[in-house]
Amino acid sequence: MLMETIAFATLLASQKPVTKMEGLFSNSGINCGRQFFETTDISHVYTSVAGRQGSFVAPVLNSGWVYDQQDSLVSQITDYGEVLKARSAADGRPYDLAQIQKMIGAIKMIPSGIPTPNPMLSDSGELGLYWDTESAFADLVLEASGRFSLFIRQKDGASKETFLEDIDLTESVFESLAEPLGLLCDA
Amino acid sequence: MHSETVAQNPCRTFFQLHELNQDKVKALNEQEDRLNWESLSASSHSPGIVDSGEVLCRILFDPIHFDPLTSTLKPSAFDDICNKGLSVNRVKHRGIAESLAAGAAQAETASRLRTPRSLYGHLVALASELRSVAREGQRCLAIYDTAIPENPSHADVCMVVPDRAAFRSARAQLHDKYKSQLVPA
Repeated sequence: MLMETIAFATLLASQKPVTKMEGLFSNSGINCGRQFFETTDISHVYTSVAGRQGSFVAPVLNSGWVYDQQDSLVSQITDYGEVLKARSAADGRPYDLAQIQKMIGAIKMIPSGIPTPNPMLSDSGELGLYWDTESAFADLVLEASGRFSLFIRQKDGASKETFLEDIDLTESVFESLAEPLGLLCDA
Repeated sequence: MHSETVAQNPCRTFFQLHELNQDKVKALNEQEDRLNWESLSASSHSPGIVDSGEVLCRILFDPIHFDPLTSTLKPSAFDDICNKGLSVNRVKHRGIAESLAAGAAQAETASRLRTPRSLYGHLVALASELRSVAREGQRCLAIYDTAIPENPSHADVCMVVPDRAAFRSARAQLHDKYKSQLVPA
């Protein structure tokens, strides 16, 4: 899976991103879009690098293939689940599948006006997402309690920070976070 | 080598007591004098307290610290500041090549006993830079000379503000400062 993901990421890096605007933030004045990568060659390159018949299925938009970075993120979180499961088998630390599912649910709730975050897994097994843009740094962490916490630090001279904890994440909560999350959109 | 006895040195007493505690930073933050303890040696194996001019080496592993897909440092590379202490080696007491060799061996052991892990490389930081990380005018990090017999250069970087918001701020500041200073092995 790792080699396939690397091969695919390499491919994506060579594609021209197509920025789209859609979703919950369309009325909020936030002006940054999730990047989609459009190509007609994904299936062919993926198969040849992986060295076997491709099982990859991508959604189709018009005449080209479109791969949403969100799918890659979900795949990485799923891989983290495997790491946590193996770790649990090795040292007996509890493994909670519900945490993986909860994080995937959170990813799917991220409004499309917000850049796709990167995943992280702490040594203690805590799952998180982070954004590092020109304008701000932010991380969203799934705490052991099953609730989320969000930290945002602006990169202007004042380095203003926002920290919210004990968040029960829902789409409406994300909408209410439109203003702080909007800081992630580069001017 | 320092001559303080355990009775005179609460810092050493604390770190001996919590040597295996994976959450010792939490206990550290219950100690009123924790910042002053930087001027006391934390281990009888230490060559001395960590001077602010010292260069420290942090070994980085994939997948926890480094993202091979984006070739970037993850903020989680610094998570240990709030639980067991962020392990660093003092370069004047252990060269970077030796630290990397030890890191490779550590990754191999972890992969065999727990989950796959590989050595990525390292970054270096000045002790004074780490000590200057602050939030709302309050210093966030302290460095203790937690030497062990097999590694006298070992030190721990620990949060000294018991606050989740401060931890996230310190982690973000460290990530921003060192993300472009990765050195692959």
